[in-house]
Amino acid sequence: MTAEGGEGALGAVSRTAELENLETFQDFLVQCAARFGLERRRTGLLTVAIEEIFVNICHYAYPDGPGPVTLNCRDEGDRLVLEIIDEGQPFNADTVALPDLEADLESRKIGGLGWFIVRQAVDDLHCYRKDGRNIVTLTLNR
Amino acid sequence: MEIRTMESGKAWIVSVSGKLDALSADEYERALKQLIAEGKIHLIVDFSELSYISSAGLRVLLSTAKQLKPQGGKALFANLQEGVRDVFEMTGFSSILSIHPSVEAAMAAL
Repeated sequence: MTAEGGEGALGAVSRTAELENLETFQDFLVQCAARFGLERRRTGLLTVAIEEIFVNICHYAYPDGPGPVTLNCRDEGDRLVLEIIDEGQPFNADTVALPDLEADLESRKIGGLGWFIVRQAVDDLHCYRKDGRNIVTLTLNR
Repeated sequence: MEIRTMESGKAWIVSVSGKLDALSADEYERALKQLIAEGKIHLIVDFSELSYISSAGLRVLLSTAKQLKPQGGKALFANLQEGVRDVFEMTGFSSILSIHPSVEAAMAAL
């Protein structure tokens, strides 16, 4: 199979890091997940994961005004691979604290859940920086 | 997202439809704050038409629940749909918030 953007490519979409573009990324993701044949519930959680990552970029990557974000989708046969790429400030999800899921209503801290949801929604999460870009790779095994 | 409020006996039923995400969370928080300010503190939040929630949505559910508590109020959540329920369970929200299968069941538990 040869598609534009290399073997297994399901396509890519680029927009500026502004919240109003969230739905464009999510709609594109849903199309790619459908072409891959991902189950409905996993697709639903993945849609949430994309919001968490995109919102994080919108809030932190570009303090001087919104820059570009790209979502790449690839069908690698036994797995669906997504890459979210920004050109903003360095970021590493590994440094984000995990929420205390055992805490009750009183002691539960507000926030900290976004990256937790991302980790739960995928089989593998990998963040790295290359050529001035932050790249978050999400892998979902078939 | 759309929010409709209706009085029902001793409680107010707050029906939320659409998506509770980073774009709509502030609107939900404002609407709930307004209800609390009006003394409407026994709330049943009907999620039967809510298709989606993210951490931004969870954040405002938690903040409004925390605001209700010192006033002797309460928010109960009814009719969670599959995608919303998955996120609640994954994050432990199903054990910190009061979840009910229907508005009637929530009403009985109020």
